[in-house]
Amino acid sequence: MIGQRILLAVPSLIGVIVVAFVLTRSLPGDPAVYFAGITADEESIAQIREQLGLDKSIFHQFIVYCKNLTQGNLGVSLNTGQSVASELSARFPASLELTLTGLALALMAAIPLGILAAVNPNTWIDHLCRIFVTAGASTPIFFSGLLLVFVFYYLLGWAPSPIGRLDFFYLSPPKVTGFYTIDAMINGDFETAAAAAKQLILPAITLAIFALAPIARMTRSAMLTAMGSEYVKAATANGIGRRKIIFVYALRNAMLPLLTIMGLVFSYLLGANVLVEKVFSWPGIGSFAVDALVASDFAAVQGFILVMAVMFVVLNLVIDILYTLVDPRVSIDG
Amino acid sequence: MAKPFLQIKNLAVDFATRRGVVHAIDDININLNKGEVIAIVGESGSGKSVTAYSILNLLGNNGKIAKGSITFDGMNLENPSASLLKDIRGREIAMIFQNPMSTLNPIRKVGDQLSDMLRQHAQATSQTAPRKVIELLHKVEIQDTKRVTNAYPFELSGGMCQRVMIALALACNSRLLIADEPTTGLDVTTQKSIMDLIMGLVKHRNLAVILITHDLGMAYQYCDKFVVMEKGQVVEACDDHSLFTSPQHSYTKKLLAATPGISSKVEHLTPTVPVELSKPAVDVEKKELLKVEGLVKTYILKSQGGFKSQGNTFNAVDGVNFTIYQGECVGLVGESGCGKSTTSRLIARLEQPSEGRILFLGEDIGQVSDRDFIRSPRRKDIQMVFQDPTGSLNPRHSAFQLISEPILRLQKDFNKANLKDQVYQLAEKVGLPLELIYRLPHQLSGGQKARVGIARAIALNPKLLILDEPTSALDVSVQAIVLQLLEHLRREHNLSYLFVSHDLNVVRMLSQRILVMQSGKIVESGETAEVMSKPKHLFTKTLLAAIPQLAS
Amino acid sequence: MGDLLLNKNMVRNTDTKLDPELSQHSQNSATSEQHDWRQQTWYILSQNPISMFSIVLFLIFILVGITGPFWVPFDPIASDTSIALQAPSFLHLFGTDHLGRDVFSRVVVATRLDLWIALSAVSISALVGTSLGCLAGYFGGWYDRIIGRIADTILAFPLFVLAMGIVAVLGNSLTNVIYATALINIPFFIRVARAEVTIQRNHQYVQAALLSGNTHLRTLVFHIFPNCLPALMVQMSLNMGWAILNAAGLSFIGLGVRPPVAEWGIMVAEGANYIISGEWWLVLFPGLILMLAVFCFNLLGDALRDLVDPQKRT
Repeated sequence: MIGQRILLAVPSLIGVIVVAFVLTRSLPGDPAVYFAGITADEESIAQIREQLGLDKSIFHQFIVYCKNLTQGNLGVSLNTGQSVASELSARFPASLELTLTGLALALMAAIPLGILAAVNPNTWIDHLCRIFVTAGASTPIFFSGLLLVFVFYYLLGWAPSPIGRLDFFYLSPPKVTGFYTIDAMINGDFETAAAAAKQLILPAITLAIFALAPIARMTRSAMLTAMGSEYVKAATANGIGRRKIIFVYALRNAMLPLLTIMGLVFSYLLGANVLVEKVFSWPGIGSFAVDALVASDFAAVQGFILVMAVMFVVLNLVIDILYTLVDPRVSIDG
Repeated sequence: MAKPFLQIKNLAVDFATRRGVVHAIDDININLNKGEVIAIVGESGSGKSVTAYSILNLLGNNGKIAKGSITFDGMNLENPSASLLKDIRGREIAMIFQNPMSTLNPIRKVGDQLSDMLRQHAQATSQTAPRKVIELLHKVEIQDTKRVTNAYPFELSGGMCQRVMIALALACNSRLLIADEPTTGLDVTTQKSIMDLIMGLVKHRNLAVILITHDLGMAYQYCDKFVVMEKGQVVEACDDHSLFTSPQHSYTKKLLAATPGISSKVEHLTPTVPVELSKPAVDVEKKELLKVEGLVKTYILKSQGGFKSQGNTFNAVDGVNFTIYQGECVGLVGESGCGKSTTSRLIARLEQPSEGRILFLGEDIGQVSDRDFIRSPRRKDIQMVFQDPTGSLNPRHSAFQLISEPILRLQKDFNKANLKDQVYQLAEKVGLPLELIYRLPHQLSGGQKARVGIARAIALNPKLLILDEPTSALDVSVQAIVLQLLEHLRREHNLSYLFVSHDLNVVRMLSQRILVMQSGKIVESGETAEVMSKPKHLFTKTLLAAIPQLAS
Repeated sequence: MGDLLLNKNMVRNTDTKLDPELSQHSQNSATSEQHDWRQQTWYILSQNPISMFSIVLFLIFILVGITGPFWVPFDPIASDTSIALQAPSFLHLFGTDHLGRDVFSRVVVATRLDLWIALSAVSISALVGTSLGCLAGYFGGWYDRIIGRIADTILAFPLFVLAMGIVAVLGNSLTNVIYATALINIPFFIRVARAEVTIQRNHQYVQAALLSGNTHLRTLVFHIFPNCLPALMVQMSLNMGWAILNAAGLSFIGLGVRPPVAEWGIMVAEGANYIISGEWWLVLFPGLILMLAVFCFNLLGDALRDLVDPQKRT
């Protein structure tokens, strides 16, 4: 069952690898020229081109690229001169910590809002929820980020200045999970943990505001469907208590469609990450990618796209598996 | 006289809708004593379900009781407090719904749902619940209790789900049972066993029962008192079976006539025999029109995850042979999933047969692919009338457009000037009032939609008309009119029908011969009178015995 | 529960109301239907002031987009450093930016460009996505597998990141921003069209159309597709908002529109450096209008959905 789901993800992965390759090879600019430096002559450029394998056919390059991929070799970044794999792995936890915190905040706010709206359909509570979440989804992520910075940093002074994961007074905690807040706590350094959390909170809220709408809306509509279903009507007629009906009968059924859109929400968040990282100078893979794109640093862009896509495919796999665990019908329906 | 156990007095229910306030029911009076079984009979839109729902205050946010009172054992239920409702629902008054598959929570185990019910009403503790659940399942004659308690509803058959619903309803020894079309959507044979089970249980416990049904036969067989509703009003109430022998109200008479019985004839389905059907039908001459030989349709079952796996196939139609003669109506009867609809789609050439021959006037039309058959000259000779009068009409096309579609596409000598006349004539033929001809389907009633569907099917004078459950979505009074229309058209134009239905009683009236189908095979065939009076196959016998009948 | 019951009842009631077999009054159908439609639209709108608000707002945006450049008080690109970074005043309603340009005039003029980007991108993706989705939904089989794969592959990328990559590859220009935005919207149209066609395909009117001699393609185009239009309209409206956001996001990170062109996203980007020093109006006004435009399209999508199918509202 799960094996088949993994098999189904393979074509997507191949597609991603091909697209990432084609996309980056067609980036404007010649990496050999870039590498050789401004003073290089024709000959040394050609030499470097040979070194990088760029003189071979596109097909040959693709084979080499795939071979390297299987060894975890993503090439060398032109910008930093470091290997892309090490660059990404150093920055990945920062992005993941931010995205997951944002997602958690969004879920905690959106699901109760969705339930509230669905239990009181077409009342002012419903309308208010709807306006609130729609406004969140309509706010450009860079705008809400800047606005939060203005209010909480400039006006109120509650938040630290938006410059990365940790104020420069503090040393980054020894790496365990890569999440500063958790690592600092593992290390027993609660002051650093609190400082890291302070840096994290504004960008995470920015992400959460953006992700609020799809989750809350799906919760509401799925809850409405469930509350209008025959089995809820029958349970009501049978005198099952309202609380049990809402949380056990309706909500559990409503979780199913919600799970299916979580993949899309996560995709939104990964994209939004790029902008948030730029606004808050967050040293994640998103800001890394923007710099790489501007510099036509193709190995880095490729690596970034691959990491993102693989993560996304894996996530969808996890969602599928969760789905089969929650819904007993799936294993039959396929 | 003592106050009745349940008394509904001058009840009126209003709904606030997008079109303003709708008076769903008005001035309803019903009295019911312990141990009595009352039937509320009516067609769709009569308000019979609303009446029942108002007893348990299940009217939803937009419905409210506008007038009248409901008294149950001395308690007033027309305006109940939340705590009273909590005590009443499920504990004093229980309810069984139609569509048992969707009235159980799809992702909660059956056993858990039963114990939810028991524990809600303090009938069991978490320790005693499992034992009580098994006891309950035994009461509804489920032997395989271990499997059923651990099953999800989708793993059980419709009949089994309804048994579980009955167990739920009876879990708390409630004193009034409301059954809202409890067997609609189930096969006839299952229907009978479910009704027998319910009635056995209620008689044993001396429960009061309200049975809501559209089926007069079922009401006759199982109930003591009767209420007939039409358009939100009670038109006739009767405390004994004299309703069926001497009905007072004209609507009751109409309903009774329209309900097909074991011996009723199609011309007697309306109170007055229509002129067109007053003459006796002529005999069919034995000229072969369609001959089906060894017809097989195989589907490949998809395994989990969507991969096709080898050898996992299923024969929906499994070697079917039959003949239809010109001017004849052949009935094809079977329960859901027996392959009768697939057979009709194969003959209509909407699907490709896997094996076998379909000979139409001697020509094997099974050879032509379903894609090319659209261009075949035979396309206009085989047409179809569909089951769902709403779904089979494109919601964006007016009746005129719908009827003219086959003429535009398939008629060779098509003449634009004649189109209007042609469509008007067809409308007249099927009795569709001309002032309705530019309406969209949603502005037409069920009966009118059925007429449009028939007009479209006969537009090009087809030689064979396949009727795929043409009346199963219609109310009996409308069904009566449509059946008469079909019979009239056959006699008038010498049409040939393949009448596919689950209802032996309906098929019997129109068909000269009957084919009985079970699991993809035809298990019995013969002259209608012969099959009905002397069924040979066991399945035909069960089918016949299961149909609820009015007094003969 | 209430909805379900209500729905059943409405159906019943319209049935009896229009059935001359049961009731005697047969009305003039055309006028009563028109009246009905208007009444229902009005009812929905009056029940839902937010929908009404979104329609009015939409009209205002269109009007400003068309006429804006003709009545703005200042030239949107003429700079004058002597009046740089002035706070909002009566003369400069939204203040001036770091080059002394009038923020209000720039915001107004930008309306046309932003709406144009969104409209052209969504039109392209609707056209391509709907065609592919219809084919996949109707014919199934290999069509479905291949088209489904295409949609899945696009969706396997974080979409904003993919758009960034495409613009970087094709070249940093406005046209390419439109193409990139169109491409990342395609999977949504494929999905909606495919789902709708799959639902419609199971209705018996499709079989009836085939029996009436329509070819498969004809059935798809003339019978099924018109019935999918309402759902597609809703999707288009929602994607308009999303396309505006996406285009603005791209110009925020320096892709697409280039200074000194007035565009909401780039204006916010230019103002971003000044927010920490308290010059808030550079970011606030373009950002707010941008948000309002997206908000308007999102609400409009909801309003359309309400009209088309009250049960499906999310």
